[in-house]
Amino acid sequence: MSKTQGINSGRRQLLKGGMVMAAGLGASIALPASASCDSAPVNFDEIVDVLVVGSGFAGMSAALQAREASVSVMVIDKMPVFGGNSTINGGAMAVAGSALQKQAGIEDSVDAMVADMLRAGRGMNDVEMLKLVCNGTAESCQWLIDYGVNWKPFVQHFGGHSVQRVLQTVESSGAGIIRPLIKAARDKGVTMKNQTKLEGFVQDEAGRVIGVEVREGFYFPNERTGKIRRIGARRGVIMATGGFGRDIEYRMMQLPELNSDLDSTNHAGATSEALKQMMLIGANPIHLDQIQLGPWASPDEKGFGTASQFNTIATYPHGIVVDVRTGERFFNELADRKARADAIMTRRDEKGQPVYPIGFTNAAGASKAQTLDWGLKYKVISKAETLDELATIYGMPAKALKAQVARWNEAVKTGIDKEFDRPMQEAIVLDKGPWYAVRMWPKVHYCMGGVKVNTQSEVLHLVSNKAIPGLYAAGEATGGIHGASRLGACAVAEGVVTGRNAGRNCAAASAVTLKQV
Amino acid sequence: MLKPVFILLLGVMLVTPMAANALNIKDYHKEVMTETDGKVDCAACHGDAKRKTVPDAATCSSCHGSPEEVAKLTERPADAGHSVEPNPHNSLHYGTDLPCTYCHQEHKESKVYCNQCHEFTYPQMKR
Repeated sequence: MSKTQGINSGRRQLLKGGMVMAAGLGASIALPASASCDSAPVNFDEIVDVLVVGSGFAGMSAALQAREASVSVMVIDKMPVFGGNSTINGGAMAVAGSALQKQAGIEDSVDAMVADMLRAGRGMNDVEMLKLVCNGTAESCQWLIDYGVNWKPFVQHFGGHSVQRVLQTVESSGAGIIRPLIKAARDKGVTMKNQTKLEGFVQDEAGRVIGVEVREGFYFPNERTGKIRRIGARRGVIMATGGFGRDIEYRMMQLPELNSDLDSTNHAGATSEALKQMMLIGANPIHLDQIQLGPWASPDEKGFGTASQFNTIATYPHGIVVDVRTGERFFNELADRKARADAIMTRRDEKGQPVYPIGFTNAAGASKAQTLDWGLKYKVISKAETLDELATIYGMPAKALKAQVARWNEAVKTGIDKEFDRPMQEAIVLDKGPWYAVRMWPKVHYCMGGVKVNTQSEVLHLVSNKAIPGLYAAGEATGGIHGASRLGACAVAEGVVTGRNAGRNCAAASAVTLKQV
Repeated sequence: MLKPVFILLLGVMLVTPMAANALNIKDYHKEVMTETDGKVDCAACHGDAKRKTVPDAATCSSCHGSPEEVAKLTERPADAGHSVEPNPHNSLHYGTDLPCTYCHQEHKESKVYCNQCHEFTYPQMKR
């Protein structure tokens, strides 16, 4: 649209608005939420049935599920690329009752997964939504396989889970899920628009969300770039807009200690403006101060990096973590994320500065760590032939370190960790090198809080506690499922299951008639 | 009171067209982006869009080929180990979706989008 055209349509809107007000009309006239005193009817630049905001696990699952119902679907993302945090995450999904578990003879159930997540969530969880997620994992796992996702041929034991129930893509990345879903979406005729940022919602007079105002051609993070356009959504808008881990100002309003000293594993677009737009039209924000720190990250690299994968697949199940000053363990390395992050962050000197603990395992423990070679290349992971050499590298007391390893090996042989009561299914005797080690410090990782939804994935209104018509939300953008602490591999589960739930319900909603320019 | 404002405005009006041409462009683009009189042809990339608008990546493609074609030029050998950096134009995470303009900058130093998380070196990239 050229500049002159823009001015003309603006004038036309203004004139129409004036006429409507003069005539005292009102019924069935759409109002932009951002300017509710202007009663001009909305002309949309483009109209679809289902509009999905965000293209991570929840967004892509919602889009594909809706498209399976043969409605028209558009996905918008403000970033230059699709996939948000999902495509740079570890690609691990907790599944209760997978075929791989059965092959490995591991007993599991939906109830066991719910119980694990309730324990980690300190009982704060939205139990109905939690059950919906756990109940959907096995079926969604198969749905992903049908779209071309390849899982590694074994299950893993992540912290806080009572059994091995974590599947991981062969790529060790959520890209192993996101890329096949994007390809399938494009093949099936879903419109994928990057550089398209949500500015606000468009509601009709009854309050139903009938579309969005966006900046198209947005160049992140330059606020005023791109052109304002309106996209109509006949059946509804699905918000799959993630969390706000990289929005330092907003996260510090919730938890002041999460200041700029703390790095984050999130991509730069993980900010709060979509959440705020939902709140502006009445969405109920819950648990916003429940912000998770990833306990497997390293201060020696940016973001998620190479250490996070190394620690989840090698150090935590097959190695130990020690205080660099004493050479001794100080927590259960397979506790939930909150317990581990809190424990690590107690390691400080008298001035309050971090004293980074050392996590390590040996070659056998690291045999499945795909990021090991990259971590060594970028000097995030260190290699030592002996425990004496390991102690020298990090300035640890060698004698105490060797005594700790000996105590650990005794615990492995008895199957009971008397010191910290760690689950021992995956523990191995650490009796020979070479050793691989990293320095550790948590990073802001995930927002448990978000908007309150019902089991139809409809966003609930703060005052009425009834659904805001036409507005759905899924994934990290919603709050309450994980309570006080999300378990590892449960965000992929949540994103895929709730995304599909939102897509299914939105596609089945009644369609409103909208007007195109 | 109005006078200084007018002088300032006049100054801005005089300086503006010159400032547009004073913007640096990369050596390797000088030949194709400069007209016979030596002036930089802004429209070559920006078209008739207003100044400071980042060009559409399709503009790059008109000379350099599609993202898929560019990705082929920087493909890693199939047996490459960890000493060879990943293909910058075909990412595990993003495929070929990232528009050129998020790394390659004409009027300032180019940067590697991936290096918000990674430490890739790409020594052959012209900054």
